[in-house]
Amino acid sequence: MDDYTLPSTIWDIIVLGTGVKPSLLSVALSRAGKKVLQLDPREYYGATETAFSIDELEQWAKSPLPPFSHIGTERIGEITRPRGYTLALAPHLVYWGSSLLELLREVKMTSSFTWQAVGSWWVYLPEPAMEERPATGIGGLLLDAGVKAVKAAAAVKKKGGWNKGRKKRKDVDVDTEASAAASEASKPTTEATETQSPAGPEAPEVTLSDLTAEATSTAPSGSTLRKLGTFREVPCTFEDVAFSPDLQDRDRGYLGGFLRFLMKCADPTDVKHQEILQKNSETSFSEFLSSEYPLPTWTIASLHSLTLLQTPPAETKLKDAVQALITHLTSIGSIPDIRSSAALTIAYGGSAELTQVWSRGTAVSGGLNVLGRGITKIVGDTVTLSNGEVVTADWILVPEEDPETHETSETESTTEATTKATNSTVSYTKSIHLISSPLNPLFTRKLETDRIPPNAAVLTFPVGSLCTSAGLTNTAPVYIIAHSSATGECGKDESVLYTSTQILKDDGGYEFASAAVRRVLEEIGSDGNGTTPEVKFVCRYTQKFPVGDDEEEMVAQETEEEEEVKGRIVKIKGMKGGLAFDEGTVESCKRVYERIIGTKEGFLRMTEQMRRQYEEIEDQ
Amino acid sequence: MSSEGAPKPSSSVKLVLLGEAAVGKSSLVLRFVNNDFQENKEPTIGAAFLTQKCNLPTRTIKFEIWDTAGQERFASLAPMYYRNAQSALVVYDITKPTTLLKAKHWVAELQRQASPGIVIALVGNKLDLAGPPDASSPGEEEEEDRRAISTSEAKAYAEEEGLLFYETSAKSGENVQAVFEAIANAIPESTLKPKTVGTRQGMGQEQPVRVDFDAERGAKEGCAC
Ligand SMILES: Nc1nc2c(ncn2[C@@H]2O[C@H](COP(=O)(O)OP(=O)(O)O)[C@@H](O)[C@H]2O)c(=O)[nH]1
Ligand SMILES: [Mg+2]
Repeated sequence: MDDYTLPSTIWDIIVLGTGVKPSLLSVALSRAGKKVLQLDPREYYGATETAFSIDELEQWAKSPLPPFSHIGTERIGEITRPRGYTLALAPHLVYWGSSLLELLREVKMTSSFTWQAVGSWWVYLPEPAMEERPATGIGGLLLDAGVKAVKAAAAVKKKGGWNKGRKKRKDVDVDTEASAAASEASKPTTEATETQSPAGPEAPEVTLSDLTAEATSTAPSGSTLRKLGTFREVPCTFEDVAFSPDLQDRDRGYLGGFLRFLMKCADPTDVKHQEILQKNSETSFSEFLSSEYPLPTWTIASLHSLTLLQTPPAETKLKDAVQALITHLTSIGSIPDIRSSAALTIAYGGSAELTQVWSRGTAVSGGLNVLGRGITKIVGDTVTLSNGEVVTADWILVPEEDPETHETSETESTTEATTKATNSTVSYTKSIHLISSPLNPLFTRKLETDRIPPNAAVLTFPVGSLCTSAGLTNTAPVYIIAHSSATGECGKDESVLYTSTQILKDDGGYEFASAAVRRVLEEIGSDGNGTTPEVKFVCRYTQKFPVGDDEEEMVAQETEEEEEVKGRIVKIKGMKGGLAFDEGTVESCKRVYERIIGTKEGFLRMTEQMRRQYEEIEDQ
Repeated sequence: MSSEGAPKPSSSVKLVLLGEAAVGKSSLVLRFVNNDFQENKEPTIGAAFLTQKCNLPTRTIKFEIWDTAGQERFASLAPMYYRNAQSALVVYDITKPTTLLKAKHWVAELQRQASPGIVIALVGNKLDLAGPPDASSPGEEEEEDRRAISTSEAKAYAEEEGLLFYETSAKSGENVQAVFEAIANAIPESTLKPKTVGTRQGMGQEQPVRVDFDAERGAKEGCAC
């Protein structure tokens, strides 16, 4: 770092940290005309959401600081360009209907990133698991809804966004399509249900031909659910349900019914379904499913994988699962280039790329980024930097929990009220595996109409499907996010597998991850002539994340008399540990922005000057 | 047999600027894009990049010029800055020896990290501050020669590393157009694909097919050409 003195000692806002939230706030405030100084004691951008080369990962592993622990790396194969990799600590999936994409579209920032599609979800399901059925009988509560639902499947193509990907919608404006899809999906489908004859209280009598007729009318290409070794593609559309070779007709009815149920839950004005959700708020996902939709056990794991939740189905709250499934289902079918996909991933390190682009955005709009410099002391509006420089700011934004940026002994005295914020956290066990094969079968097109192939995939290992050498079986699902080299994260003939589970290291977390990766390599990686690809490099680590409601964060840092003091500190909570980009991020940053600017209006919007330049460039 | 008005093939090329603060990077861009120069100019505010066309006899190159936005002063530039760059202007100030050292550091960094086929130009700026080329009469008072890095030294280094080399003045405009034209000419035809930014990246694979947010809009406006 070049040790220039800062061009000014007086700033409107000091942002400490270059993770996703600090970077977003930094660029948004800078674009709002504030003089922003963004600092990070680390020598790289991205903080806990950064991406590293192999050399850098090895370096990072040597001195783990919270929220990271138990970091280990291992080079196994030969690595010719260790600096060329971009391995992500936060390879988040970004749902097409997410608030992040909505924001980026709004401010014309989507083109600052290279987007790759996340293809199918795959579940590891050995044969015995396929035969299990729950002992529970048929529940009554939702049967009516379920039966009608599948019968009404034909109406879905007209009303719902979940399936409409199979239609050509050339004339739809991309920018509005996702929201249109979401609102379409949440429209009550009254006509559909009304046209149906009243269904009896028996198991739904949906015949295969009913569903296939519907599905083929919307998918001329006719897709079937695929199988890769023991991995089965997760059915997540009515069409998938209709074609799944693993489902019996009765199951098709229940599964279709459940999808229908989700669509109704997505509609906040559907009082009946909101009540059902309310009443079952503490019910677990698996309990609800097995009592209301007695599907084979594997389907529960399969559906649960779409939630990307780390808890096992029996410990996943229905409302959390429903919310996650709605996100998935309202996104699928809307991406113009690839209708079979629901989510995207950002090339070159996932959310790390967001932090770099946004931090640069701060500089471009007149702010200043300083790496390798932190804060040692905050008193009132006066901030002492780690190199001894003293500056002032009206607002100081600091990460809530981050030892590398939290050397602020004096902050405590000015901010007593802060620690009441729920300090609950959860730890996940993660790993990054570099694979000596492109794992092509994972990255092939599902539908003939998909214009581009996916370059990411999700694989799940349900509870009980993995075993350690000590004979332990996994008590929670193990997820793998697979990335092809098109993400720019590895070499052409390689791929990267990112694993995540809530099973901690001491309970076999790392071993389960290795076992899961091994399964993938054996069943998907083998190239026909019997050679199984190998792991060339692995990094394992444990990371602590905040949990709880977003509403509780960003506690106001000033008491009445401190209002007199100019300096105001806002503590920024870290991102949550989900595999998808934390949906609360944009809103929580907007709330901080509102505190400072007075309105959420105009958040991240281009300045006038930028807009003019942008238009000039567009015109050329 | 091309018709009279047929447009020349046109391609976008990402060009990044590198070099120590205050060597004149932003000034070179301002000269090239707006044919303007400002003494003591504030760092660029506003655009993530500027564009400027360069017409060659057989094709048109549209430079997408990325400036550091001052990030080089206190931070290492993020990798996203030079990722997929097909060309780079590594600038030093001929009156400040340390700036050439810094330039060499950047050249090494690009050779390690950037796209394999990247075209790099080494540019010694502030040529107007140097005395007349053959300063046989150092007695002349008014035109003080502030040159601290000789042309031959920098040129030798550039040749060794296979870089284009120019000495420029953003102030007078001398050689500015020439540098950009030289880069445009040096971009290998094979790496030029219409409408893509960067065809190769760090690990040496082809630019991947990616999700296009404008896919649908393009179809709507019927400009499939
Ligand atoms: N004499 C002279 N001054 C220059 C030249 N180019 C830039 N400058 C001055 O050098 C200073 C730094 O220029 P700037 O373009 O901001 O450098 P950057 O930090 O590399 O972008 C400014 O005061 C410019 O006016 C040049 O060719 N000749
Ligand atoms: Mg500059």
